[in-house]
Amino acid sequence: MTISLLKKVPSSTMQIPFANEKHATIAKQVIDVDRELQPEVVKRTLTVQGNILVATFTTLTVRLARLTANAFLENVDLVVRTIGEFGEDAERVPSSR
Amino acid sequence: MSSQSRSATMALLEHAETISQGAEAKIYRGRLHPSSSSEGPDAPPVLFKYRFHKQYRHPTLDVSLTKSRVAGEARALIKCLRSGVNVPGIRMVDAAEGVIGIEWIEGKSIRFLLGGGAEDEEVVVDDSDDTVEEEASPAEDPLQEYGLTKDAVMLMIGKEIAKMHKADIIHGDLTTSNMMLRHPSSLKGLQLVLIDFGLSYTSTLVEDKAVDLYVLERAFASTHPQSEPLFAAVLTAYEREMGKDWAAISRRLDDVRLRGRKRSMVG
Amino acid sequence: MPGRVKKRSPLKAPERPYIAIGLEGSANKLGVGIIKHSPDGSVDVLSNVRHTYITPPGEGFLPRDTAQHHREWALTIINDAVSKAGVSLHDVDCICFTKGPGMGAPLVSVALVARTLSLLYNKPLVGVNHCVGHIEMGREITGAQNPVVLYVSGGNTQVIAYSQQCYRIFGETLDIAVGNCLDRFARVINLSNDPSPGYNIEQEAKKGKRLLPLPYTTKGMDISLSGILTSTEAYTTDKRFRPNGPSAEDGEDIITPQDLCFSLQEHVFAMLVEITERAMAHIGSKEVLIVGGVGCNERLQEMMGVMASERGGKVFATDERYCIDNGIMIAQAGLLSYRMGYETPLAKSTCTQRFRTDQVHVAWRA
Repeated sequence: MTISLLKKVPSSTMQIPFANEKHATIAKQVIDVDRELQPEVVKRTLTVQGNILVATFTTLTVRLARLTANAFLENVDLVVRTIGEFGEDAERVPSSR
Repeated sequence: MSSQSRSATMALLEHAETISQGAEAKIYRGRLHPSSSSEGPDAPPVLFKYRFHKQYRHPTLDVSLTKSRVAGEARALIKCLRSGVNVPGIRMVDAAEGVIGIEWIEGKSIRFLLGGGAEDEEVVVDDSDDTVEEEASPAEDPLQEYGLTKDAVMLMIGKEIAKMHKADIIHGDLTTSNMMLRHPSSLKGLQLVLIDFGLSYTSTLVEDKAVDLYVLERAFASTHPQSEPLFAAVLTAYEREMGKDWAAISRRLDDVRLRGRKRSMVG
Repeated sequence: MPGRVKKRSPLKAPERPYIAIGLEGSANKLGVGIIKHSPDGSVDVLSNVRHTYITPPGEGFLPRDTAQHHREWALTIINDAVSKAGVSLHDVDCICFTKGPGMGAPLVSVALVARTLSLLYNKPLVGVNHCVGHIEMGREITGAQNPVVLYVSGGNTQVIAYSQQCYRIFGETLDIAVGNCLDRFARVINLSNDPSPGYNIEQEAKKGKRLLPLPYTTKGMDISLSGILTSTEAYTTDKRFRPNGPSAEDGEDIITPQDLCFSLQEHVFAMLVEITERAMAHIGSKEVLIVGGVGCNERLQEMMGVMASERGGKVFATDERYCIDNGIMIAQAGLLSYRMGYETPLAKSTCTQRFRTDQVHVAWRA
């Protein structure tokens, strides 16, 4: 079974602080939509603790851990920049509809 | 080919009457020796198919394409004739001019006989045309005249396609418009004839044969929705004629249906 | 046509103005557009901004680098589109994005931004089929009612016609897309990718004099293009080939890159026009609409025009603003389906590299 295999390798955890819980949650929701490309060898868990996005990866190999983390951080970077650019504007006027 | 041949072939067309105009060719009904006195008025008519110039194409490309297509169509017909597939006989070929003359089939298209309505192409009907398709009144089955049931026609279709496929010829455009029943009163008697080999090619591939059948199946569904269940009989007869080759084609036909490819969209 | 019952469009006139933003990034163009549908039935392009990832001559665009480009430019282009449109993202009714088909990584990058905006502004997402986007924008711009559509781009080559709430594919390429074929040949002869390899092929082809024989492969309403690409490439190793044009001592019998561009275009476009005409004859349509990046090519438009006029019909084409991939077409197709009540839930806002044109339920047409 894949699961038992995965248990033998160390998992890595990343913590990414956001300005507030709402933004951390948005990042989690946005990234969670896309499954990992190789779900049988990469397990990803995203949770939000306060204003922190916590990502845990369990992978079959160290190489996969690096690739997965890189891709994840690229996505986080894009979401963070998008929030940075539009977050304030989105808050400024309450949604009219 | 010389300019003399050009005028000879074009003269044939000038004496012929236009039957219909399609996207790529004009169809005429005429005679091989229109001016010759040796040929009586009841000499058999000939169907001329003229692949006219397509203005959008570079002239050099157009000439070479037309030539190879007319030759290809003639080759397919000859191959069919040799293999005993019912197709019109060839009367003349002028590849350079884009003209092929074939036997005129006295009869009706299967599309008409199954009540599939008018043809797609615009039809230029001449008053003098004695083969004008009389409108069948809805109550009367046009097949009665041929003494056939719809089922019997389906079996004939399946058998003829199988014979063609056994000769490794792919029709490329199987529709009920491209099949005719030769009238029982004609010289060769009642026959199902496959026509219009303009898109045909040679192939031994199971895939190509399956797609050929699939194209016909889709055409049936759209042109004759009420006759669709009858299509099974086409395959029954096809299977009978194909023998051991049927299994592989049948499997592939299922694949092609699943793929739901193109052409699932006639009309 | 007599006897044909004209059905009422299921799309009701909007009771108020609707605004949508569309984000596109399925290939090397990143586009953002904002569109408005008014109660009087008019459609306004409020903005349509694009940034293209251009690679050096001889190189194609790879998914990873293209995604990187989109990530870098997304926010700038969105801001630009919003400010040009003179609206706020609070004003839009929905956020449309390309769901597919296209390159995976670039699609996902743009989808991430779309999702983030959707959650920030609390606006629904609408996932759009890229090809349907092209068709709907082409119909809107040209006013073509029910045309046969030739969709020709770097990734697609299809002959399409509408029937029963579906854009059905009548014919398509059996191997590579026409844009891909032209782009790859442009790379073989080292043409610039700026503004696009296809544009540069077109310019070179105008200087070509000699039509060289190449395979012509139509199969019913389908075509095959890989053989013609190989054969055209083969001429570049011919003894008569002069990559830098004829020299003083050369006679008549030489082959220039311009001749090859010319010959390739003449053959490939003739094949496209032929299968389009076959589809028109089949369904009895007199209108043809060309969409997709290759649709900008004026020689293709000209050939199609000759064919259409011979049939007593008309060709519709758009200029590079709408032909080449853009955001406004995604906004247009997205808003049409949004007005029919369609939304894409966040969990379903994934992208798909393969997404056939005929998989879309065209709810907004009769």
